[in-house]
Amino acid sequence: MSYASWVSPNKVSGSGDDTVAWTGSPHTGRNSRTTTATFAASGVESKNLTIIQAGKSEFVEIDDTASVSKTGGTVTISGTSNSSKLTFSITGTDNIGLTLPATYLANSVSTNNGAAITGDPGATQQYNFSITFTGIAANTSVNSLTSQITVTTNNATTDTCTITQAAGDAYLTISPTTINLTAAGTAVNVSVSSNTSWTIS
Amino acid sequence: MSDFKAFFRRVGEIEISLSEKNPVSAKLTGMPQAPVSFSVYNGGIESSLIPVPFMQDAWLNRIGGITSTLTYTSDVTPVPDYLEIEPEVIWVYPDYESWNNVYSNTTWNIN
Repeated sequence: MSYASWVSPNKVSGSGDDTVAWTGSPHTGRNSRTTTATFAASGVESKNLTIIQAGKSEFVEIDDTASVSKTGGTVTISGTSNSSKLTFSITGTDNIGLTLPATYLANSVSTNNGAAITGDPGATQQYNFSITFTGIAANTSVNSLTSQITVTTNNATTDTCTITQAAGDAYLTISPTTINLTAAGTAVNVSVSSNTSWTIS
Repeated sequence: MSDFKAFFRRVGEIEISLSEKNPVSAKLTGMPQAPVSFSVYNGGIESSLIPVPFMQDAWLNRIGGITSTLTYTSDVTPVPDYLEIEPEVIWVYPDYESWNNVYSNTTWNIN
């Protein structure tokens, strides 16, 4: 039995009195981890050194931004966390009109939004997650649209992602395209359909 | 005792580390010129070496080969080997080192 690979001494052998320096590799899991190093010498009783590394505070990091084409479709947001559960919500103004999916992928496993993650992988190390928004409609305005997604951990730590949908194409139609005015000049209506400002000349 | 050392006096000194136990053995490698004086010191740090009283200089005849082995029996009772560590529990971190002390009079390794 040897000490775990996540800990490194500055020497593995010596003679006489000495001091050994130990360094741990980064630990992303919430729970602390422990290993044992055995000091051994011929003819004497071995001595065990218990080595403990503290867990990382619960965290969540999600993409800061994501983009959707003007024609709509889907967008996937990714991140990392070590929380036992994640809850996604649409916060602030939802100009895009997103529909929050019921599930997302946590550590490659489909997980219900807000439910405990199977196996609690974050207890031992951070995991990747992603959530995909589908059915996004085309942007019919000439302005870009934004929505904000917030992910919340079990202990209420949050991070947000701003989704931006590209501006749609401008359009201008009139109906009818030909009008006949009477001699008296009676008014005739023409319907204008547009998503941008327009002038008559 | 783990840190007996022998000094073969010729021109200057040739230091040879010995095996830990009685009888103390020294393997001399090289081509020393006779006469050669041989003494054994007992101590941990070279600067504080204390001559072991049992050993008078032993005069050796010319050593004919490249390698010769000398064997002496000390009247000094070797200190039993020991190995202690302190502390027995440490916390480690990625960004800086943690330390533990080893107290021993012999060679040791970490598994």
